[in-house]
Amino acid sequence: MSLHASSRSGTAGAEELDPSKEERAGRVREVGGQAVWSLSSCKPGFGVQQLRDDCLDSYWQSDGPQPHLVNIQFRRKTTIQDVWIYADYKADESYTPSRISVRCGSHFNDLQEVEVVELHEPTGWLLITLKDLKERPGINTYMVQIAVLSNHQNGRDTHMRQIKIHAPVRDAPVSVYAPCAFTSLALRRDQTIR
Amino acid sequence: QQHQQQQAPVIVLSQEELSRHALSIQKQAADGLMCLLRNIGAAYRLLSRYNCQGSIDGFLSLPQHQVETHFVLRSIAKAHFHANDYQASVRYFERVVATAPQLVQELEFYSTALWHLQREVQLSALAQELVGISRSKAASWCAVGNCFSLQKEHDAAIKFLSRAVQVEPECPYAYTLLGHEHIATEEMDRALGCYRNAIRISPRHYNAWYGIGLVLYKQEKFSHAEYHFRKALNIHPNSCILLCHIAVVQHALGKSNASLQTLSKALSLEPNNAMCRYNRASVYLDLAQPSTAL
Repeated sequence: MSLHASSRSGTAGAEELDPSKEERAGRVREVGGQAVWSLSSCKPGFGVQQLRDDCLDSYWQSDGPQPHLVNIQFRRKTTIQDVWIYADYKADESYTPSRISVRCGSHFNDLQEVEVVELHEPTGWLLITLKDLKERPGINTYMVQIAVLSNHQNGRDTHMRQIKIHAPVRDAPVSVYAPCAFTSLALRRDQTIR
Repeated sequence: QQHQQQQAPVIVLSQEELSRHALSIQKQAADGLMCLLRNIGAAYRLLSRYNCQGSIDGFLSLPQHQVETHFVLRSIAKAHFHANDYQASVRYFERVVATAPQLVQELEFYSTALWHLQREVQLSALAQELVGISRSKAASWCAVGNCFSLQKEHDAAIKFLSRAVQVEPECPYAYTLLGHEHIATEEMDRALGCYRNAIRISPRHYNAWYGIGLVLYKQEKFSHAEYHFRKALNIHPNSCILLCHIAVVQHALGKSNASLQTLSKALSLEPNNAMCRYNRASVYLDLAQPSTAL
């Protein structure tokens, strides 16, 4: 289980996890915009748009039987490295998910569970790192499904405020061996013509 | 007339002599102007052939008050830019902006030079200034796009570069920058479309040929990539980076000897180029000659 939760109560000095920091560092890219999103159920006005609008005040509210599903389908096979979910127990209480399963595959009938995480009163961003069979980060897949299996206090419906999907950035320079991106200014300058 | 000369100590010339004198002054002025224009033209021609050092020498040999004009300073800055000497290019562009703060022509190259040097603060200040001066020129929006690209916010950069393309559809460089951003977001088809647009507008735009070559390299179509890099090299023959890229592609195609030859040529142009040396060492390593690599 590879789960990191930010601002766990009582953990002094916990680093504030933030997906946009990772994006700005240039190591990952948010690829949710390249995918088709669908939900198993939602209340009118609390759907995919609220889940993807970069606003932590609006949320998705499900409206059907458990498990509640978020389906993310890509046009082509994409390497998914991180799944970030924002959940807030203080705001959502019994709507906060407590058990989330992440599944990957080619289509709806081909999904395999990759990660299961247990949450205890989360307040902030959760990072779920996906690893393939050989424990390397990143899974190459057409579809990701996030399933909410149960909620805190056995609530029926769930609130999810924001979801972000990160893929690794392949920024290798054009060279015979390119182990990683160069950092010195001299090499970076001669890396490419712009 | 002699009578007049005795009375007043003024040299009076006849009408004919006056007109002959005026004509000779005019001719001298015209000659001087022609000479000046010829020199400027020669230097500009060298710049268009991307003979950067030659054109810089040509421009600097003009009289000082001509060098301080917007056009000449801009051309020298562009010459340094195409020679990949971004520090010098930025210095000259600063003088360009000081000469005529209200002109934004060709300042998109200034923004790209700052992008290469990763000077975020200067680039963002430039972008804000240019947008403040003129929202209807591609150069301003290109600068903003470069600014966001430096911050790794490629989606925003794409938005602003699309705006640049909208306001000035005949600017090839805006399309090229848009293509680079699409590569960064891994949208190869759109990148190719942008580069082809740039080439449609200006077939001598070597950046766009390079861009297509880069996309093909990423898609591992090495021989096609080499063809496009060579086309870019034909236009800009003294570019160390292009030679470097061709060498890498040749090595990928298995032509290691040709690759080493290309790298030697590149190093003869610029002996201190770190990237070329790194690549040469890598090629030797690949050929299992680690001692030569060191």
